[in-house]
Amino acid sequence: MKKPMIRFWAVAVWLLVWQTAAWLVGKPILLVGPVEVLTRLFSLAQEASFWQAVWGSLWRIAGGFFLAFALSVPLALGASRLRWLRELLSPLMLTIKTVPVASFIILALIWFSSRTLSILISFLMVLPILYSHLLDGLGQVDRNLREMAAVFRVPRLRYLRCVALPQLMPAFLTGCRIALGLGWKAGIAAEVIGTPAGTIGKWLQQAKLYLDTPDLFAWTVTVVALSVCFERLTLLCLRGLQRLLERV
Amino acid sequence: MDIVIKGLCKAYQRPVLTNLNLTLPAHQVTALMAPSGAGKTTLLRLILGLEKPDAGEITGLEGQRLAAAFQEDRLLEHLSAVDNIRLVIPALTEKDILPHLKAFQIENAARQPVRELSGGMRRRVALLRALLAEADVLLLDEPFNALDEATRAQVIRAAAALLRNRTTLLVTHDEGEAALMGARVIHLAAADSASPQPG
Repeated sequence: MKKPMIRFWAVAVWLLVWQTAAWLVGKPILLVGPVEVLTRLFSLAQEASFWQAVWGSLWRIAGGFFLAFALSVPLALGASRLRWLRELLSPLMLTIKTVPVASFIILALIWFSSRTLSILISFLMVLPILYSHLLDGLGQVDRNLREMAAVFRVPRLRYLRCVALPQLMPAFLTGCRIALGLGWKAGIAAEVIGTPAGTIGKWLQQAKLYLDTPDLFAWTVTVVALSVCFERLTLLCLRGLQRLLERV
Repeated sequence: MDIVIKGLCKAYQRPVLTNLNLTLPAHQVTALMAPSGAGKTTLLRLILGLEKPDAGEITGLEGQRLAAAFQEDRLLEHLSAVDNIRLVIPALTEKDILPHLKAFQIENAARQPVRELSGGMRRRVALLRALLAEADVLLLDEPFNALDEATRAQVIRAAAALLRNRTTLLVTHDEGEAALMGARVIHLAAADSASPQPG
């Protein structure tokens, strides 16, 4: 089935439904419409603290993602060749995947400072997803091509670049897409609980304390926009890197 | 060095090769002819080291570099003919490869992704990749299949010119192909009576 496309008209309909619901409710403390949210967002964007929070959350969550990315590649490559490593990592990855994120957040708050909390949480959410997608992708490399490369003694690095990479990339990009979304959700949730200074999570927590619904919506829109932009940019870079590496 | 196959046995659900004894003389082309299911492809896989025999041994492969044109083309679909060849022989430049593509009548497909090529053109790319490889032993599994009559003879002649006295095992159903390649023909019987007879 083709990936569903986001159509302008469909977005417009849902914005209209949202605005109408806000008018009908008539209480901004319960629900604010998109117009008010955009107005609030515009005014927040005039303040330096807004950009500090955006940067504060961005570098932490992106940092966690890239750390997980950097570790998942050698781990998956090693596990694809070494059975003992695959068996060793299997329960660890399963544990990270299944333990509730709230448990990790609380544990991390006990062990570490809240400043680095969202890096760790983003890292933990992303690592098992990237690892498992990469490992699955490596396992699905066409056996005929693996044999061909072995017979012709294609060097390992060249094999990875030209034979394995094009075949595992679709699965890996899907993993990245899932991991990026989850990394942002879990990272912001960690900031809301840990409230490190200069992060979006801290502002979301304050919006909750003061029942400041326009701020809550405005920051949420900011997170969604950041998450989408970061995902697009990362996937674009990965596709570019793939094209560069695949060159014979 | 001759490649000597002694008492080779291989079975999957049923015996495929039973006590096969065969010598592939060094620097010569040996054409192996056999009915379907007689274990020709299995023999090639055993020589290539992609399978382990149940019994018997293959000697004479020590230190030898192998290249193969597999029964399937085994090309990288997104790469061009030139890049598929350069993947296994990076020392060759496009300029080095183009005359060979011309001899194989596929020079127009040099830069096209192989997924866009016809079956016959892909077959020729796979064969050329094996022939150009820096190998001492060539294993060619029905390499001229999917070629039309008009191009077959010319491609066989071009392929024969690239053998360069390398030890070659050619699997074929066509005695004419074997003759054009200058091959000594060996007939392989069905598995349960696998004792090759020179043709």
